[in-house]
Amino acid sequence: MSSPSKKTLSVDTVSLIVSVGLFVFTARWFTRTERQRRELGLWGARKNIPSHGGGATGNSRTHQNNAANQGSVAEGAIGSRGLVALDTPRVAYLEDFMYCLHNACDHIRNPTGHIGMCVAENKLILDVLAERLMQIGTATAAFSDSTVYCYNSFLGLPVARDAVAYFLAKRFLLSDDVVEPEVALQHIQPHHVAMASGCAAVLHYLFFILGEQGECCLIPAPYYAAFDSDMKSLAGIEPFGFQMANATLGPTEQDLNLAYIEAMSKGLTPRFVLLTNPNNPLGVVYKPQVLRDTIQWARKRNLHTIVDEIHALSTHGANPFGQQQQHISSSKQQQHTQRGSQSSYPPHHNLSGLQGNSNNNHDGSFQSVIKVLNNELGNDVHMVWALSKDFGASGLRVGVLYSQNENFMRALLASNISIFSCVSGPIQYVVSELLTDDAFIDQFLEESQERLRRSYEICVLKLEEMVVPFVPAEAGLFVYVDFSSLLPQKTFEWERKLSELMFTHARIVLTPGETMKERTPGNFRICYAWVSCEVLEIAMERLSRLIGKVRRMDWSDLDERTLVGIL
Amino acid sequence: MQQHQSDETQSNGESLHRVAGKKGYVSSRGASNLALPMPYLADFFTCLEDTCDAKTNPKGYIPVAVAENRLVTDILQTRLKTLQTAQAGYTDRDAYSYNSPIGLPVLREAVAKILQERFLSPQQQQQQSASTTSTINKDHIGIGAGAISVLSNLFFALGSPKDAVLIPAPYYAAFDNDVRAYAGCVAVPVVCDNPAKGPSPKDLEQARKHAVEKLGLNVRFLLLTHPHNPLGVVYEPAVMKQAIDWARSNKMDTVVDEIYALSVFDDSDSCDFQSILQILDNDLGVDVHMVWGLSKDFGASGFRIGVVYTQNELLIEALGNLFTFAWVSQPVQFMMADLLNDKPFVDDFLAQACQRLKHSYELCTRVLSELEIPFVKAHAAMFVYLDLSELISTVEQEEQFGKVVMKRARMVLTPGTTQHDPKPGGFRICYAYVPADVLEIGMERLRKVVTTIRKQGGLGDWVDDDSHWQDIL
Repeated sequence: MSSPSKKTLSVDTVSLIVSVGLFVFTARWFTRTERQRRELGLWGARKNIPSHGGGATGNSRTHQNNAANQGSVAEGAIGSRGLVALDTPRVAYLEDFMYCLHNACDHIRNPTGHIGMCVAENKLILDVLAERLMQIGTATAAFSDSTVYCYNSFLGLPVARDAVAYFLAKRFLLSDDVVEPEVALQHIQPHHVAMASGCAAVLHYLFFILGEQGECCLIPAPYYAAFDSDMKSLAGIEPFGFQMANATLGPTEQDLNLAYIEAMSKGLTPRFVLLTNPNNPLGVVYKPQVLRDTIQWARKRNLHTIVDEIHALSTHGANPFGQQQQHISSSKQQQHTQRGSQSSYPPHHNLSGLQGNSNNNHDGSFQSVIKVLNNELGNDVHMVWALSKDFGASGLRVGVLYSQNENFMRALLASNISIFSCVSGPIQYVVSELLTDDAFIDQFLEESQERLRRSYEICVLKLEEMVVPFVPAEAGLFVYVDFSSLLPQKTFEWERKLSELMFTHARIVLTPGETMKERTPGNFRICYAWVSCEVLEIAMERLSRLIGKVRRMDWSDLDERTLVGIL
Repeated sequence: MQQHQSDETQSNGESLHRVAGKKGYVSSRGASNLALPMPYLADFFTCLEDTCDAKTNPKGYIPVAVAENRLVTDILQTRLKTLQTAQAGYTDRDAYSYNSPIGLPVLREAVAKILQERFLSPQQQQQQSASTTSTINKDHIGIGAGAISVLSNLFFALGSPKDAVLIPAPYYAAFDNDVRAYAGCVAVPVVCDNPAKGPSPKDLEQARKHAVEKLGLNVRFLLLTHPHNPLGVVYEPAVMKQAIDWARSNKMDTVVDEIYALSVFDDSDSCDFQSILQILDNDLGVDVHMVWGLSKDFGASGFRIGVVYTQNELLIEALGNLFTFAWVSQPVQFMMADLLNDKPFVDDFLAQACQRLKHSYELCTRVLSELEIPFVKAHAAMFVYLDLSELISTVEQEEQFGKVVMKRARMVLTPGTTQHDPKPGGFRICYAYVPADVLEIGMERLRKVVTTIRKQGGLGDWVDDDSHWQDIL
């Protein structure tokens, strides 16, 4: 978990680090012998830092590393920008997660193992995808065409850009209507489409080419923790998370105005609004009007709107409450606040009738920004998607960009910026075959949504039983849960303590709200699709036991002895 | 809404940059990336639309400006299409999930073995001796999306804006962009007394002084391409050692780009290629970094696999975060690991690759010798650097010759001054970009062009007269 200063690392902070670095560097210039001795010492120390520790001490490790790094700027072993890169790990809970990989729970072979549910990956459908990719024709096709061996457009092979354009037209714009490829390409032009090494690279392209160093990006909070490094590391754009009256409904004009003023008052110049729809971590889908209003608002202020639709096809529609239920009654809200929570989320709902209603909200709940704007994105709306979530294939590193801003596309193509993040040719070839196999995609998406629905239901039924509030989700691979009633005080320190309890005694890692710029301490994201249903049931059972004990006992009594028997 | 938005952007024209005839706008940073990184690329793209084939299209275009080894694609193709390898990428669960952006352990290990056997101890490999004193640690290896990407991230992590990168000239034209794009560093050519021998400490010192005194830069890096692009030469180990000692005495980092290391086709005694790993006995310290990739030696630039080897562990850690944007598709990593671990195949492949390179090189240089056009004798890589200064004495003439070759012979060569050759008239022919039979056609066309120009006593306005160029194609 990161220090507060790291979160709001501004341009000033960066230049401060640089100037301090330079000063120290100059000062040490004359003491080279000592420098070298220290260098060896520091490096030795670094080598001894265990890569996977006990977990409970995870919080302090980052800071130890920082201390070592600060020293080495003076050593000249790495530049100050390299230092910032070191200091911007993708996500703060990564270290605990790595531990989960090494001792992973298996319901038969290792039922007391660790369970990582902090990473938004869909592992439930891996077998379906693998089977398709291993088809002999597809696997060898990757190497049959000689174009994959050579330099080509840095934005993607022609065959791959065609395939992506077809796919976007069919699945995002025309919503599965039967379309001929030629017709689809009239809607979405391949030269408005680009591929890059994952969504992170696609976002980085937008931030680097469209923004200036030090400008900021407004992001509805809570948000995906790694956005920070996507825009900061190379492009130098400052993330500015802002709160909303009701996060599940998306930003209102008032929310946006307040955010804009607040950013300006901190000396930041907003240049982007970044919407994630379906939303991560909330799992909700914004109404088309919310998108329209936000874009209109952004246009008035000359901001680019980036819509990240990476979960677009993972709409499981398991939310039995429907749209109308998202507008919660004021009495319920009041009741909720009286319990001490300042959460802007509706309280949990009675889940009776879950099974029977699971399909009633499926169709039409999500609309891509491409459809909402009738495919007229203009120069200032950009859509990003990837194979990572919807196809459970984050390891393939295939990100997709759709932008009608031709100067932007030209700068990408002409510059070497895009050669730095090219997708490997053979994979582009495989992906183009995959995305144009309509029959497979239909069946795959149906299966994926069914499996997500099943896991989501396991998760929320247990939460309901535990009487823990959560945000009813319609899409995504996660459910956003409010454990704030367990915290003795509403601080992030206590949230961290709860994380530690979960890791040490229940061997579970969830994504803490703090890492996602959540305002209210005690919220966690459960990524239920990272584990099988069986392991998910074990995890929910452990959580239930842990929470039972936390509720019954005083925090000072919670230790290894009293928390025995959770595993 | 469109109308409204267009007004808005005009009123804020200061930070938004437009181009006539193109929709949209970008920031100043975007605008600085609107120009093509290499001026001859436009011609190159024209060539791709109607390429020469010895049988079906003998009058087509022959682009020999891009350093790609296409002579070996068939061998690689056959190997990769074996079902076990083609599927290898999809059988392991790890291929589908997030892992470290620095590369999968399986590929880093495979690369470590290659570096061990073919870079650090090639003699021992031949003698099958097991007495290796030093071993390559896979944790010192990073895998990124192409060597170009590895380099740009490396300079970003180590340098600061306005840091100078000294590069012996002539050099690969795209380096200018690679060091600038993210890192904001400035490439400064090192003019060498004898470019084929490599930079002497005197050459380096002169370039350093120039960068400090004339350009006001902070000289932080030395970038050596070895074997050299565009000259195709191999430096003597002592030259490399001296250059690194010189860099160290100036507290500079040295980056050694060995992307052609396994394409050394000259097996005579006059050529002694040694990797920097061997020269420094694998003791690189924290200030020497080696870059390699599959693009050239394996003829697989489309795969985008770059490698960095450094003993600077902080650097590897920083790259681990930065490679988020240069992350190689993991199925491909599995397949490449499978490929590189197949030692009998790699042995055979590299032997054949060098044989084919040598064949094309000799085909090329035979014509040059017949024409008495001087060229740099190459030991390695996939190009020959020829010297047309007898016909060309200015940059304008070099450009004119390039245009004539494009228009009359439908060929693109890489002009020397785009590669920072201080003397006009140098051209690089990337002979491995086309099959040998097409190369033969190209060299004949070139012979006719040069003969025609010689007959006219040099370049001049006459070149626009079609009557002089009747039977070039």
